[in-house]
Amino acid sequence: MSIAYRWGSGARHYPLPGVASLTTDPELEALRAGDEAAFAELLDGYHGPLFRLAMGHLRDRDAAEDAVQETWLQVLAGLDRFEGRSSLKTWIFGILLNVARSRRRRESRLLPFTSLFRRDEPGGGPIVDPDRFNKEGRWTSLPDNWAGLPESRLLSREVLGRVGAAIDELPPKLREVIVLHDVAGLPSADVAALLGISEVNQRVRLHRARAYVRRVLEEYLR
Amino acid sequence: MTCRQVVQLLTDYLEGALPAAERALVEEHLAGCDACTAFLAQLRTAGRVVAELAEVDVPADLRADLLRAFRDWRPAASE
Repeated sequence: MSIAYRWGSGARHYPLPGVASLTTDPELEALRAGDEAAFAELLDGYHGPLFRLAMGHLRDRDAAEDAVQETWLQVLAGLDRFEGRSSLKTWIFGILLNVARSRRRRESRLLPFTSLFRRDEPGGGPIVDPDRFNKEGRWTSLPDNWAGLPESRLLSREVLGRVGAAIDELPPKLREVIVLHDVAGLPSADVAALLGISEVNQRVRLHRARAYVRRVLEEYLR
Repeated sequence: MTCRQVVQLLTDYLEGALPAAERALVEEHLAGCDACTAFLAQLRTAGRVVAELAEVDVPADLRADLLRAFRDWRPAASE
């Protein structure tokens, strides 16, 4: 696998020219052979994270759906040239990022853009409220035990809605990492390569994003 | 290691990215600390809820358009 990740940091584009295919992926072969069920499975399986990533950039359902559609059309246009230097899935998410970013740039006059870490924005403050620890750095009270919560509550529409909103509130740098890693399920190395950041930086952002979601859930479930 | 330090390391811990010595210190702390263990469980649960956000249906018209695009892209195979 590691050969697939030999991209320089800062690499944002998917197939590099002049390299023979490095992998034979059965999913890829099925698509190239025109297997519609295989394509439908990808459409269904990736829609949630693709749409959420697009929404994060474009803030509009129709615009986000258009970006997802364009992504799939670019996937089809590029499939025969795809060289398997990344996994098919990572390649698809890379295309979505490019599509969504270029569309946002086109509309950037209309959208506020904040990309710097600020303490006062979601995910920008301490991982845990400093008041939760005493002078010795120990917890002053036990975090709530969620193990007793029924799945029907934890995964209810309202909880999922609140968590989705929390992710949407995050600045793009944090949101992209948590969506690619935890919603799409891409490996850390792929997320880091797609975003052109180090794996260390990827984990720092993931930690901030997860800590923010945890805090929102803690307030919501209390 | 204090609780305040341990909470900073838990994503690296969950991701398997801690050096062995640090991992051992975190595990030793967790074994004796109900609060950090509860916090770790919360992080795991939060991760499970976030993963659930992947389950979104493709709007029917978009799905139909894209399946048609796929058939047009490779018409020979669908015959």
